Amino acid sequence: MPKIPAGQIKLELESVIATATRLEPQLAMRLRWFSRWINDKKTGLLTKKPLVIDILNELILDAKIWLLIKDPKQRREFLQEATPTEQYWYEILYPAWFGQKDPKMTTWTKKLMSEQFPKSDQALVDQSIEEIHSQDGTSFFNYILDLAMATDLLLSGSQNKALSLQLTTNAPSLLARKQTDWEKTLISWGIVRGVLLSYDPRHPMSKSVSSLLLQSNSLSEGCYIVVNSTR
Amino acid sequence: MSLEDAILNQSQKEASATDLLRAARKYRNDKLTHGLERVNLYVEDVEGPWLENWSDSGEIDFSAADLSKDSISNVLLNDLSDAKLLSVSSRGVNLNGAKLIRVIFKSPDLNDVKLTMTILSGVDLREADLSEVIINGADLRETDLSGINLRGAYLRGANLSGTILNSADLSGAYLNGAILNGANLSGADLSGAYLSGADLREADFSDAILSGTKLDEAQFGFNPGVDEDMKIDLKKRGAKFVDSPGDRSLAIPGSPT
Repeated sequence: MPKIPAGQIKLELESVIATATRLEPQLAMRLRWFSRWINDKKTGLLTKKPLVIDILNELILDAKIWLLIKDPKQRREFLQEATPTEQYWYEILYPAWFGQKDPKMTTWTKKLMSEQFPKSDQALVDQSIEEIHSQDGTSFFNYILDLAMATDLLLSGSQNKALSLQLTTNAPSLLARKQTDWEKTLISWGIVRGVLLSYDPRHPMSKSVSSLLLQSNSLSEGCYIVVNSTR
Repeated sequence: MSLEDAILNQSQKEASATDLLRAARKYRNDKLTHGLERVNLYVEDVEGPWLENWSDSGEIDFSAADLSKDSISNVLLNDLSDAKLLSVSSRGVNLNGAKLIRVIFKSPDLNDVKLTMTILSGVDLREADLSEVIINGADLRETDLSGINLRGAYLRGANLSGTILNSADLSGAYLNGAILNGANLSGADLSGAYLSGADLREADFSDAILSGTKLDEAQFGFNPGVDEDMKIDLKKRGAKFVDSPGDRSLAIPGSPT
């Protein structure tokens, strides 16, 4: 299988920035910020090269898609192909991300530098995704959702309404504060429905993904709820 | 070959949005099976020197950009710190409330740009054309605006304290109530400008042109470039001098005397 040389990623990013500069300067600015950030941190601070390329790959693909669907014909075809969670990302959340200040940017880029990836609950997230897919639900996840928008994944059930899911292992005493921060973050990005799923890593989750898909169908806009998986 | 070609294992072609969507989806699903190792499926020499070779000056060439819509106000400019804007054409852009910290504008055409209450500290706008721009109430303290064209600009109440405006064209500018104390106005053209009620104490007027300038209640004092003859002329035109006997009471409330 052919591969692209790692050095080409920078050229891909430059090409996307050039297109975005003409069509959507705010996206160009956000991508340029990343490029400069890499430039500034490359000496000693950014050490995990696969992680940096992984993020860049996501950024480049998302930006290319978003710029292409500015064309009405491309957008029509895109809407026929995209799942509800993909639509929610590219039509609502992605433009929100580059169109407004990301207050957590400094924090999450620091996280990246300290190499707190993959996350401890990644296996559980992956397992949830597989279950969602096996039950004909759809999901969407990426670094920006996770790091900036307090969302491990977007999911949707039969009614095609996207729901933000965040997993947490916080102790009950810390959960209230976590909930406040989580809810504030979701609201600031315009995410209209969310579930904060609290679980104990020592015990298997008793709440199944089916119940989350049910929440996706039934939870009203403006509702952000905490679900305890052990109860 | 592009990234999406590598992911979709296809020969080089112009990708459609749906092609890219499939590539992004495949790349996402790869994470479930390969984790971070997915990178190595499509990119070679990941551990090579690409990161060390990464260079980015932060220069943004907006020469072809469409900045002519209001939606870029605030957000874009908040992120523009340290950026260099080359040949920006941004007529009609609303930059109200934006922070333009250390931004370098090279030959910008910013006519009709609204910059009300904008913070422009440290911005390099030398020789910029901002004629008829509306910058009422803006904070332009300590900014280097030497040689700038602010002909007919609306700068009512703007804070231009300590601002470098030497050789600036301020003819016909509306500077009523502006704070210009300590500003460098040497060689500036203030002909026909409205300076009524402006605080001009300690501003340098060496070789400045003040013909036809409206000076009612404008407050002067300790100004380099203002000799006794000129002082008499300015007083006749309504100016007040805090360094003249009997005019000490003109010190602005709340400001150091």
